[in-house]
Amino acid sequence: MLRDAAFGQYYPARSFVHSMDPRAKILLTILYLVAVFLASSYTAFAAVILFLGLAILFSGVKLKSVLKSVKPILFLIVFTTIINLFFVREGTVLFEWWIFRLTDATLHFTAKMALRLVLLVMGSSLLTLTTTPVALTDGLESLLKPLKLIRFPVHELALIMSIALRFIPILMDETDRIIRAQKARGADFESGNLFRRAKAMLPVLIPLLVSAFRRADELSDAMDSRCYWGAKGRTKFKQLRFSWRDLVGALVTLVFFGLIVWDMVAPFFPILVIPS
Amino acid sequence: MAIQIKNLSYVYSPGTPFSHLALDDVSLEVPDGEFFGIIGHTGSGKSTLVQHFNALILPQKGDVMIFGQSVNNHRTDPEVRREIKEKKRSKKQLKQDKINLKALRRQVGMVFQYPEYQLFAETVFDDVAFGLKNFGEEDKSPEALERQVREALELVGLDFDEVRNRSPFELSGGQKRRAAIAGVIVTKPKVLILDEPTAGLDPRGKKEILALIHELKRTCSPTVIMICHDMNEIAEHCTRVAVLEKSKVRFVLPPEELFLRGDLIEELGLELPAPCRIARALNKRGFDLPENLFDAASLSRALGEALRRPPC
Repeated sequence: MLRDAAFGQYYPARSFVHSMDPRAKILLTILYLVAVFLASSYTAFAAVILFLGLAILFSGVKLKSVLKSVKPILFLIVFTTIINLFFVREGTVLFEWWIFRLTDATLHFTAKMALRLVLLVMGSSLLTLTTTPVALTDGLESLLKPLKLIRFPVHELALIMSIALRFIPILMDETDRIIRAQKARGADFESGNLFRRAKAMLPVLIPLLVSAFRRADELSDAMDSRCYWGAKGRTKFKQLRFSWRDLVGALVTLVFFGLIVWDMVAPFFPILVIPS
Repeated sequence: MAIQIKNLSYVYSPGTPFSHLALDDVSLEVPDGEFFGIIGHTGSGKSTLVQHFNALILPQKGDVMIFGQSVNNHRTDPEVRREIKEKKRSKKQLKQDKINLKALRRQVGMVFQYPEYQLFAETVFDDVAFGLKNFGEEDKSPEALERQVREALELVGLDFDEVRNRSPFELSGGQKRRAAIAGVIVTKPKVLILDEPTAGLDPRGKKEILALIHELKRTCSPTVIMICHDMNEIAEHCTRVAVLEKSKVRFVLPPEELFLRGDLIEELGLELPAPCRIARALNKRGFDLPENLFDAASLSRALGEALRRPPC
């Protein structure tokens, strides 16, 4: 039921991408996101798509699972497309009616915008699909270490994140359970207008909140009883280590990143353009 | 026949790496008036099975009949799909089928594990009345509502006047569970399903809840289906027991016959009731006791007889 709705949930598999160091994956994902924003020509987009395709291929994740992550933002894509129809004014007019004006610039702009959104979401969901929440927070904690110099509570932040991530499936199961229990008592969540439906959720939200607080209490007791005392003097059981995979991943990403940057700056430096 | 299950299979998250076969070709029948027990390990499919009994889960494959009425998933049933296509059955009728599900759920009450976690209303009265209001009582007058809530609360052994205006979160653990059960039986379901009703209670609380279930069976819900981990409770209360293992029903037997198959039960990793285990251990040392003893009294009687007999 609800479990199926969780996009970007860890996809268990053994693959090249899965066994990369989480720090490398986070950094390379950031680089990828920057590349998506820099990409302006269709050639650049083709390079990004090629890179994403390679990454998916070596991650062992089914294409369908990655595409699923786009579903929640479909509305956003449609919405921005419609907005663009109003606001892009320049270019050759293809079609005009009332206040709408469709130009070739509109089409290009909209297509690129939609591509950019889809690529952003797919790329970042590939990170969460191939990295367990624990590895993700470990990596983030390690990457943010320099901030400790300015007394930023890195460890605490990572802990909060990992607890929050860990609780998502638990609370999801709990919600499912409570929904079923109230359905068994005749609750109806599917019919009625928006207001009625929102009201029908109360018998689910209140027990959920109560149980979330109960769980938080129990967790803090459990941590206390095991003498958890923050970051000071804590060691890690699983040490993060870079491997040859991270080097290969980084090189491939950098090549593609270089291509995209080159594609962007080339028009300004005529020397760089390959004479045709 | 209260509940009939035919060749039921169910897969969680089909087509993903998380897919999991919860029920595998299960067939069962629970006649009216039975105290039916279901045992099995965690993950053997017990909870999935009982959620089919009141149409909380619609069958993916196979059929579930509640009092002779089929609960098929009308949208995925190929027969129904064809009928919609040929316009023999309209979308409106489909909607009516959905309302019928509600009527079915009214006949089969379901008490989940730790039912106290589903309490939500401001007062105990409102929480118990929740089901009544949802199922659209014919008689909607406040007096009728109060009468029925009073009946339900008194049936589970709570003082109506004392608890009616209190918050359900203020009650003690045992009281909470009773209030939650009252919220299910207030609509007088003909079948009552309980998922481990004694989980997390002390021995005395367990006894009280089991006595309460017997009382409910006598006065309001003649058919009871109970998931249970404790063989002693099963032995003492159930008329028949289904043993689930790895998504399949291994056998359905009355407890007396079930415990004759001690080896099989231990092989399934379940624990026999204490008197059974004592009898089996003694038999290994040369006694000749019947092995289907499951209460202390009959064990001591049989043991007394065996000791009086002259040694051979």
